[in-house]
Amino acid sequence: MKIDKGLVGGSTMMLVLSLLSERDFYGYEIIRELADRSDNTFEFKEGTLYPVLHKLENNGFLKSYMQQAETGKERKYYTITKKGLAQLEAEKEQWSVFSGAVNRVVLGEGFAKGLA
Amino acid sequence: MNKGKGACNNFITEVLRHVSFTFDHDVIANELRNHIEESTEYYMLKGFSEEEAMNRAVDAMGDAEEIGKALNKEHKRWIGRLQLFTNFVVAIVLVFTLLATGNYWDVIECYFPGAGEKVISREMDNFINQFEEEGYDIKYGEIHYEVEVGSDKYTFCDGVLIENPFGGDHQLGIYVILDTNPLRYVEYNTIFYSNDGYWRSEGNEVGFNAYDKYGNGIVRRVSKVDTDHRGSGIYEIYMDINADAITPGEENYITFIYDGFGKYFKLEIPLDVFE
Repeated sequence: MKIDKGLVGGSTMMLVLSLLSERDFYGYEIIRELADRSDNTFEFKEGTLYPVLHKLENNGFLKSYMQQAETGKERKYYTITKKGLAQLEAEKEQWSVFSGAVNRVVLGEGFAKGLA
Repeated sequence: MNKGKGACNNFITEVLRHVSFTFDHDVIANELRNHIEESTEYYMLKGFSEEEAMNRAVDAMGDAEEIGKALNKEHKRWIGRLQLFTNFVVAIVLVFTLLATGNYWDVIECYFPGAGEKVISREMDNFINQFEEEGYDIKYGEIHYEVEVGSDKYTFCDGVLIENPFGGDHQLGIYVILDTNPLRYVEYNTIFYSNDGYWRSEGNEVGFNAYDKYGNGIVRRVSKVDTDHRGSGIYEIYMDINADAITPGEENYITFIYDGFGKYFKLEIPLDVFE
């Protein structure tokens, strides 16, 4: 199932921060990882990742550094900052509240109670 | 394959067309190119030809204009970007005006604002402190800037001993090297230094003119000098580029390059030609 682009767009930041909380990634790796883990649900236009990464970097949530690959290519890796980790926690919290509310409305009160 | 490569280059060019802060172009282009190349390899493993694989990789990137505009929003923060790049609080302001002095001159005013008073020498101190922290033994005069105007390249450097072109002792001053247009001589104001090696200008303007071998003025530089600093103290630089040095009808840029001690930055500013 493909998910609406706008829906993915809104949560891209959280997805990226979440991946980067595990280890450092470079751009293309993030795309592949998101596609693999979501069974290609999160296939969005790949270039749109970079404005997101650069925004997160400008906001101090990420830092970047260059590292040479075995092929000799200089890759730009991103690493999450403490501020980024805090932001991730806040976004996870928001997501949990939001998705819980959506589930209660869409799937009925019983669904949420059943989960609890 | 060339078609595929062309698609990659066209995509990157189109993205960069929307990013006004040219300082970051190299970094963005490198990141996008790496992505497309790696994505191409992925599609080739899936059995596509190299050309088809690269075309798919470029398609997967999305709309270049949309991406360029989105990147442009994130690459306007001059101070922030420079800080990230150089770890120094440095800002460069360049102003182009026209001086009606018989010749047409494009005037570049270049100064480095910090908190409070805007003093380039303080920024120089910051450079030097930073380098010293990193274990370098830096002397004034070892900070070089390179400026390219059209096909001419100028290197200038603050606070070094230069040979007096008119004979006499070596003097503390500023020198300009014209790599492509051999420097004939330099004129400068004697107020620039005093015998004990201290600058005594106290806010006065000092300056020099550089001429090419034909005696044409190429760069006229005027600096305001701080008081009583040995080997430092320039806090404003005005550089006038002779419009004759600019190739008419072509896109001309002034490129500021700082390259030394593991720090590199490059700033390209389109040069308006004044009529």
